[in-house]
Amino acid sequence: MKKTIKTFKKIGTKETRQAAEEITVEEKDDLPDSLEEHINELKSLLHHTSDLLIDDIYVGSLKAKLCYIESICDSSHIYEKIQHPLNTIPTVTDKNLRLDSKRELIRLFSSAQLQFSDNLKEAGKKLVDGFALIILKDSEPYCFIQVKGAETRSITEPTTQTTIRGPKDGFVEDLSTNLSLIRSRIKNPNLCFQKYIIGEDTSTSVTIGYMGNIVNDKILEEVKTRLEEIKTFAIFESANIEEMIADKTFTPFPLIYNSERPDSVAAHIVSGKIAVLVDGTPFVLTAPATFNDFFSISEDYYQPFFMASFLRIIRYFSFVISLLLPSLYVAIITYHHEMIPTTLITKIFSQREGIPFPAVIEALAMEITFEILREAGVRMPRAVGQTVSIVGGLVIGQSAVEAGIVSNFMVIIVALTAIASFVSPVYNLAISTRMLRFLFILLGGMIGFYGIILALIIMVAHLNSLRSFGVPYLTPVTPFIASDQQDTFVRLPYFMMFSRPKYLKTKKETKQFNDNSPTPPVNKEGQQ
Amino acid sequence: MRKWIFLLFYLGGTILLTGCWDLREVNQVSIVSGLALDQGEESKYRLTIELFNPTELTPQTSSGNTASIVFGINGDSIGEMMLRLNEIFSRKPIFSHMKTMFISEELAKTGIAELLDPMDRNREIRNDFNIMVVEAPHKAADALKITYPLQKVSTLKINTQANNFFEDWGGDPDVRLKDIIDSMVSEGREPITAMVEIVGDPKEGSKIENIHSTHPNTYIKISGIALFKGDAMIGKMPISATRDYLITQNKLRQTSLSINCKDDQTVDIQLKDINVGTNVSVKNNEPTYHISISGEGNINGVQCSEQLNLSATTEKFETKAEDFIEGELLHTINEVQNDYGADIFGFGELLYKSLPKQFKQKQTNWNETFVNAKFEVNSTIKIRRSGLRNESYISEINDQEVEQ
Repeated sequence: MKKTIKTFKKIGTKETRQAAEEITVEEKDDLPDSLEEHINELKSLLHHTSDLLIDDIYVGSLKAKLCYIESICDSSHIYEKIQHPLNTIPTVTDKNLRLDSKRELIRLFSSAQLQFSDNLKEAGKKLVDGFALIILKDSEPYCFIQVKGAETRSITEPTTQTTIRGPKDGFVEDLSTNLSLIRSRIKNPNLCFQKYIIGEDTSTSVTIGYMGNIVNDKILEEVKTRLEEIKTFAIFESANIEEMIADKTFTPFPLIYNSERPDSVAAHIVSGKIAVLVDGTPFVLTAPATFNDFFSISEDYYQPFFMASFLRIIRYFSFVISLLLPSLYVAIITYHHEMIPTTLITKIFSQREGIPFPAVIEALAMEITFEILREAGVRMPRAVGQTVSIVGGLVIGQSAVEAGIVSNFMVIIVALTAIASFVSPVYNLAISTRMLRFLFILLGGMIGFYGIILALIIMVAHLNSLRSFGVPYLTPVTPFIASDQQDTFVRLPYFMMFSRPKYLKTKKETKQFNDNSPTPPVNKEGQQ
Repeated sequence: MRKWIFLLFYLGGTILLTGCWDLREVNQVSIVSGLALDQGEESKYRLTIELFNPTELTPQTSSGNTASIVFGINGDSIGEMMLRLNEIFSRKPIFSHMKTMFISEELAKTGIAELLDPMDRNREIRNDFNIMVVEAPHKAADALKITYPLQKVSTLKINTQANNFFEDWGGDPDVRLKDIIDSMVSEGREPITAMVEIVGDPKEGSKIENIHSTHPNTYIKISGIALFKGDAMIGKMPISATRDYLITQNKLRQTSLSINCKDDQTVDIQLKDINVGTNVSVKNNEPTYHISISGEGNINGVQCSEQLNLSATTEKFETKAEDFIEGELLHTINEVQNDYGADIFGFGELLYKSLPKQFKQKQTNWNETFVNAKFEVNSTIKIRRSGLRNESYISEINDQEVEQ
């Protein structure tokens, strides 16, 4: 059934600025006939939720309904975008003014984007997404005005990856703020975002961001396919997405990088990687990720390159310490007494005199105690924080030694291991060593160095088998890429880093063209 | 999935069933710091071991008891005795940190070949411990018992002492287990070891009172080298011979020469960067060895009033030092040739390396050829520095005396 509706048409006279224009619109069958019916339908669609507000308004002389969900809408937006324009409407005496056409509405609410829909279900979705709905007249499309204003956190310093020098802003939970943080860093028309709605129940917005002129299309396709294939009920954190799109889930090692820092994510995007932003979390994923990515932090590029390289080597070293130190200690003092210098072994002997447990048990007990302390320290309410540190420090550290249950050396080893595990800039990797450490201790206690080496071989083989969106996890070490060594274990000076990572196979490999190494100025005669 | 379960069982089985077979927890073992071998009274040998008492070595846990425990057992074979130590001792001994091995002179004279085989064979025993002969009339076991205030374990003390003496003066021949075995086997070399002497009463020295006195009554002194022929000890020489031995081996790092200056006054030259090259030539079926020594010296002390800033003076000292070192070396070699007739310097090996055919003719009775071998020594010593001052203040004192 078709029905012609009258709309305004511009006529050249000065008194009447607009005149009717005839256009045809397909009328929906399911649109109710009266305003009250509209409202009832809407209420039942939202299961009579209490935060759905319905106001009577007048658009000119026309009675209308304004509906919005109070909890996610900003009242100042509603005033600015809806009530203020309505108040400016000239008095109703002007007979020629008819406020029921789309065009006039667009003019009226020119400060906001106006959207129309004639589908009730879509209206419901729009409402929960922060739109205000104006129902003007019976049997007319709904019109929406974006008035979203849910409570969001303001931009603060990131809490997980803090730096001494470098930008102090961090991502927040709000997606559009996060997008703006990236966009403001990369002022380039090639930066593009693509939005996905994932989650049957939560309808979470997930946005991928990349440089259209740099990114490897195959990797991009792969990311898109994997995102599209996600069928899940809810997404609350980017980790949910991470587990859904990673190449392999049964691995202790993280295959997708995550960061709370806009500068680090922007740097990844510019180097040709793809960022995945999830609404409701400040942690942004970037893919593909290699093992080395987890040892570098954005501050590496803000400090002098000597210092940055040194610190990066320290990080690799700490990774090895936190993975192996307790197991090496256990293996040495149960099997390989000849490995220790004589003066040191006498110290260890005198410490361990009268310790009732074998070294393996001692190490495992101390490590588990430490894990309990750490978990308690993270989860407990802030107010009791002191208690745990006092009880943990005193009871475990001192009393256990004094009681002769554990040796001083073991306390030193466990403490050193614990501190070393905090050095890793990305928390995901730190947790993986926490778990693997126990395996190494057990093997070291059972078959000594032989077991540790066996486990290391298996671990390296496993690392070699991993891929992150098709990119080998251990690259650029294996497979070895010489030009990517500029930013692997050490960082070269900024002017010497010419190319983007080769393993990403980007469209534009060159980062900068010639080496503009800083040199003293040369005067006109060609002398310094 | 079945593959994984199989793998799990397989790995679990191999690890759990075989693991821990050689587990030795630290508090089940005791470290052997040194051992001593003597002739037994009823049996063939007496093996004495010294074990660390680690709690006494750490200041926090120390309670004033002795830092080491010495036990001895009797038996007929060393290998068996090393495993039978629990006859008297509670824990499992581990030998990997052994620092010194003492052999009594009495036993060394009867032959050491049998003693060293178990040491050579044992997986735990390294090749970095000192082997020393303890001078008669004391027993080797006594050397383990002498206490010393700084390093409370006597073998540790001897080990550091010998190493420092070797590095600073050349008083320890730096001979290890493999060297002795190699020279016993070799036809062109005879073994030597370092030699120590116990000064004072060993019974007094084994008491803890010995370390409570500022002047320990009993102590161990490095007294020289013990010479062997085959595997039996044939004689001993003083520490100056040790230094000459090290020169022939080109192992001398640093030493100090005290040469005559005027009347009974001396000049001390600290010799460094010592390089020795030895060549051999055979004339009339008799080998002649040319030993050339080069070294650089610092003047360490002057007793006479020579003007050191003159090059003539340093040249005079250089010549005197060269004469001194040449004379000393020749004297030692001649003494070994004439008194013992055992080629401890390995000149036969050198001949074998340079002229194998010549050595083949003489190898059956090399020591006799060695006795008749001729030696030529020449040395070049350069004095480079004279410490913080040129002329000694002694010359100023002497000038004043002349003026008066």
